[in-house]
Amino acid sequence: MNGGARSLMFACALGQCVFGGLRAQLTGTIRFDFAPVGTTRYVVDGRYRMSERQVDLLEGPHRFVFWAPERRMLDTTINVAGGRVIDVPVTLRYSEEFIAWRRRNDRGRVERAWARYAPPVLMAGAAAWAIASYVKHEHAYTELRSLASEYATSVDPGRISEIKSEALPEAKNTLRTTGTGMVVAGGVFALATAATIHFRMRSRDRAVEPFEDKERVRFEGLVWSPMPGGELWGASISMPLHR
Amino acid sequence: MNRLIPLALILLLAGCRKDDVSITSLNNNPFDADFTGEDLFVSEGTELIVESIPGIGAVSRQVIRFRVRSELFLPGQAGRPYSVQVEDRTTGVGVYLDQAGAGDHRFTYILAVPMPGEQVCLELRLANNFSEARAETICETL
Repeated sequence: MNGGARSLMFACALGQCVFGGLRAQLTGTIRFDFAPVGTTRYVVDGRYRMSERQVDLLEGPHRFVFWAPERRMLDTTINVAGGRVIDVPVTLRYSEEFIAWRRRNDRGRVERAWARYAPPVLMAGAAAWAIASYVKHEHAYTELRSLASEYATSVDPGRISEIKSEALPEAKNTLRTTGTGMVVAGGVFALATAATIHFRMRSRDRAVEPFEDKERVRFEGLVWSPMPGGELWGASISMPLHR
Repeated sequence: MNRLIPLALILLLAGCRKDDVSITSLNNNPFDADFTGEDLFVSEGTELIVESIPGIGAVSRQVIRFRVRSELFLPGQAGRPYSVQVEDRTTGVGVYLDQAGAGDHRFTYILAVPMPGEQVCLELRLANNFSEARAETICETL
């Protein structure tokens, strides 16, 4: 039990001493079943910030504001029955802001993944294509030179005629085609490399947008504390320090 | 990585081979039907020879001798075997003459019936595997 709860019990005891003669007040216990477990916090009657799963309170209605990170606040009143223990399930729904942020972030994550992995894959493919095109082009050139050399040594007029009318034109065509393919593959490789660099740099600039939990700010501004010199409304500011 | 792109492109473009073989300029092979070089065949004259055939007796034949200018062959063709197709323009007879031996470029064509005083023209072609190169004509008169 924290200080706030103890104060509450003290206030209850004082009330009993002063007004005991008028009416005896009993306390009751509330046992919470939180979802999410472990991170749910709440404010009782606008004064006491607590996170215990069990709390003893004077009988009667008490105002509770529950909150957990990324969840929407739940403002409700629970009637405490004197001398009894009641189990209260508290399920906090995700806040609209968090849902919108997560949706945005998921979309951003997919985009980042595409931007991160697609260009290198394309680049690797283009590189393989460029290398294969280069090998094919070299092979076509070798074939052309080999035919030219065969022409110079052949003593078979039939083969010479075949070289000039069929084999050489075909080899020249293959050389031209493979040359074009190699230039195109080289261009695609250059573009893919440029895209990889561009997206890498852009994704480096674009950090993941942090979630600003506005519900938390509202929740932390809810506390009103009685002080010797007067009451105090508590407020807090959250600053994302990781940026 | 930024420097890799132009480098890769330069390498790729440098690797682009130029088509430096012109089909129309391929005409220096004596075995090519489109050969544009000098005449390959040189006539070495004609003469009358008399053969003695047992049972028949003496038979006259006209012999036409010619030579292939092997010095016009390309370097890789030296020593390679070949034939010469001879077409007698007068009689229309066509035959293939093989080399007498490796490196022998002299050939002899024999007419069964001599034609004294008449010009005999032969159409000659280098040949191999029953395909022929450029035709040249030599003429001789006995």
